[in-house]
Amino acid sequence: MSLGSPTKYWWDEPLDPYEKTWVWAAGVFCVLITIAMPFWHYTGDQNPSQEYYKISPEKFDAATERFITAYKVGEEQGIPVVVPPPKSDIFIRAHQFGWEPILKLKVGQSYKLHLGSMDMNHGFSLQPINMNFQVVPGWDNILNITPTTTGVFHIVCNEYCGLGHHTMIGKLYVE
Amino acid sequence: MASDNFRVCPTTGLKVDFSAQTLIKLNAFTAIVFLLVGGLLGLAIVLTRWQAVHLLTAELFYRALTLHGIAMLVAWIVFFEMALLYFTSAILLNCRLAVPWLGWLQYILMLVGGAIVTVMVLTGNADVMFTSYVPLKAHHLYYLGIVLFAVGAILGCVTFFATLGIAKTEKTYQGSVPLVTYGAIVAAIIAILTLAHGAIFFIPTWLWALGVIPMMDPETYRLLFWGFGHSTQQINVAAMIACWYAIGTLTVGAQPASEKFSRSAFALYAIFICIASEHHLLVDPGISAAHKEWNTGYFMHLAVLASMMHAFSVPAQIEIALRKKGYTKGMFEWLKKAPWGDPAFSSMVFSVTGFGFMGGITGILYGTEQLNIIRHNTIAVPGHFHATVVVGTTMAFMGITYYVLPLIFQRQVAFPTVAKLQPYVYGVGMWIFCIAMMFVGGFGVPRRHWDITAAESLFKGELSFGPTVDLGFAVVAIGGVLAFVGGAMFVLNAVATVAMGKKVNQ
Amino acid sequence: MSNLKEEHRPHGTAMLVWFFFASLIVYYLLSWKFLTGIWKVG
Ligand code: HEM
Ligand SMILES: [Cu+2]
Ligand SMILES: [Cu+2]
Repeated sequence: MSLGSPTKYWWDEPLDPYEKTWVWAAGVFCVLITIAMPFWHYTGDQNPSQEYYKISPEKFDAATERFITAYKVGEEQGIPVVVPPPKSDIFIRAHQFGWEPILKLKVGQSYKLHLGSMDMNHGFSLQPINMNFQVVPGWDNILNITPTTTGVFHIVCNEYCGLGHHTMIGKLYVE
Repeated sequence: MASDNFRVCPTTGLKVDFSAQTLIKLNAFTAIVFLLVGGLLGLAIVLTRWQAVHLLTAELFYRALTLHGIAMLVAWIVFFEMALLYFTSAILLNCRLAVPWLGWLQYILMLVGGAIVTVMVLTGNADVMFTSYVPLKAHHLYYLGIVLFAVGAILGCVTFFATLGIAKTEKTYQGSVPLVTYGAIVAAIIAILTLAHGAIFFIPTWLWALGVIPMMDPETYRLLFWGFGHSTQQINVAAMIACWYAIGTLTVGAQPASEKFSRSAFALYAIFICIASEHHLLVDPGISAAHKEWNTGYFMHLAVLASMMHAFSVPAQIEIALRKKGYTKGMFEWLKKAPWGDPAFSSMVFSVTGFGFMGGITGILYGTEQLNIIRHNTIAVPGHFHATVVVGTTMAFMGITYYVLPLIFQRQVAFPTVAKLQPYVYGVGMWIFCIAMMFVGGFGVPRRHWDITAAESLFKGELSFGPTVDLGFAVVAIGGVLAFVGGAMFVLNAVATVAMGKKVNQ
Repeated sequence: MSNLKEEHRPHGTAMLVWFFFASLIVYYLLSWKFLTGIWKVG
């Protein structure tokens, strides 16, 4: 009876074979799913950021502006459209309530994407491919990405960042 | 036999301390009131996210969502846990409640803290979600309210341990404490550790809101917040599982299949799960991959092991009890003959299966470093935790309430037929709700979001999650409304029972 | 509980938990499959 004190020598009771098998199976499973993470880290192509720096919003802003000036090709909805060379450092700045610039990337090429915030936490959610990363003020979240599909993508903010949160949408092209 | 401070329970023969009884009643009742508030907000939220209805304005939606999280996850759950702590110490151990005024202080602090927080959110002074990630800033009283609430909860745990001490010295029980009390001890240990940890960042954040000190680094806040926020969920898990064992005994007279097995599993929670909080930060900057993998792998999966052990021993104890009653034909005669009409039993079955099949499996998936990339902050996450904390914890607490009413409130459940149906309405509704949210989340739909058509953005008309998602949200809403009805059946029945249920004869 | 009579042992539960185990593995493997559908990142 689980509501009353157990019999005197409860710790001496041996387990049923079913219990023993189950706890072994569960234990082995837990070990395997633990190993899966470092395994994919070394062998897989989809991993979260391995690189990040502390950086003030002002400095991140300045770096983004330099990047925009260097590679700007036009504007869409008043937002600069930028075509950076492959393998370069590319920047996306999040703020209440928008993402800049609009990037045009080449499929199959790798880029070093820097994500930073000017104010609140924001959520970088690339749709419809569905990849999600946290953007934290004071930090540069760096992702080595290689687009593998072409098309028009939107960046949805999926971290609540204030009452205009749902208006915070960005855009990205891959050709 | 009843003395000034005790009555003797006619059903169980246990001595029931009056101050413990009053505090159990107050805490449980307050919890249920918050469940009602949270449920109404939940209904409004789910009917807003279903954009065919889009009930609330954006501002009200975020406000309602903030208060829903607090009323449910904080107020309903923690008030109920205080009742459970007093029940598993004073009542189950046949003992007087230590320092009753400390218990009262617990209740008053939590009530005042909860009220301050509620008022701050309702007046638009704290549109920050229950996570209140800095630099989002609420009115300083909001943080003070949270701190008062937490201090109250700590005092509840202190009263609990002091009562255990008295029971031990006065030898009111023999040998080891009952398994359910053991589970509550694990919950209370985790509670004290995590609530004390909560002070490390809530007090500085409060001082920051007052303008006394500078803001904490936002990533440090997230780390400290989830070190606290994740661990507090383990209080709920331990309390929920204690309820599973208790309901097994109350409904079919089950005995733990193996005390050693179940207690070891509980101990694993206390030792490991507190540390596994980085699964909230898997796609964050500022924490190395090695640290994330170590934290969420080793520490979390040993707790997963513990849950899987309970997943065996909880149904096993019920099966053994029913088989001993003679239902031994085939594999599953016992399951057919189980007391499906007893609302505590059916609640518990929903709780166990929902926690395991929905919450447990998705928890392992979304908590894996790489897999988190495709689920972080999508609506699949609320899908996951409604499976754990609603189908799991809330239904376990609802189930045990059906026994708390006659045993502690000494009232017969006012509407037995409603009680019989209630777990099915709530449980089925919540299963639909959770599965649909997890499904929709797979398409990348964000959580905490008022408008996924992006109609007020620069790119309006360009973004669409497609018709499958629209349909999915209709199913989410159907499940949510059904769950709301089930929740209302529970709350109204409980309130009616307390107000006008027939007295259990003494 | 080793002293249980054979007919009182939790045969049904043992089967149910293996069913749980199988669903767990299936969903776990499926999720990794979904993961490989996104861009290369790391
Ligand atoms: C009738 C029952 C319920 C319904 C219809 C419901 C509905 C919802 C919905 C639609 C969301 C918002 C998802 C989003 O946009 O991010 C939500 C969030 C949430 N719910 Fe519930 N819920 C119910 C019961 C509960 C219960 C019983 C609990 C806790 C014990 C709970 C805890 C939460 C929490 C913590 C959040 C997250 C809030 C946030 O993101 O800040 N819910 N709920
Ligand atoms: Cu944002
Ligand atoms: Cu946002």
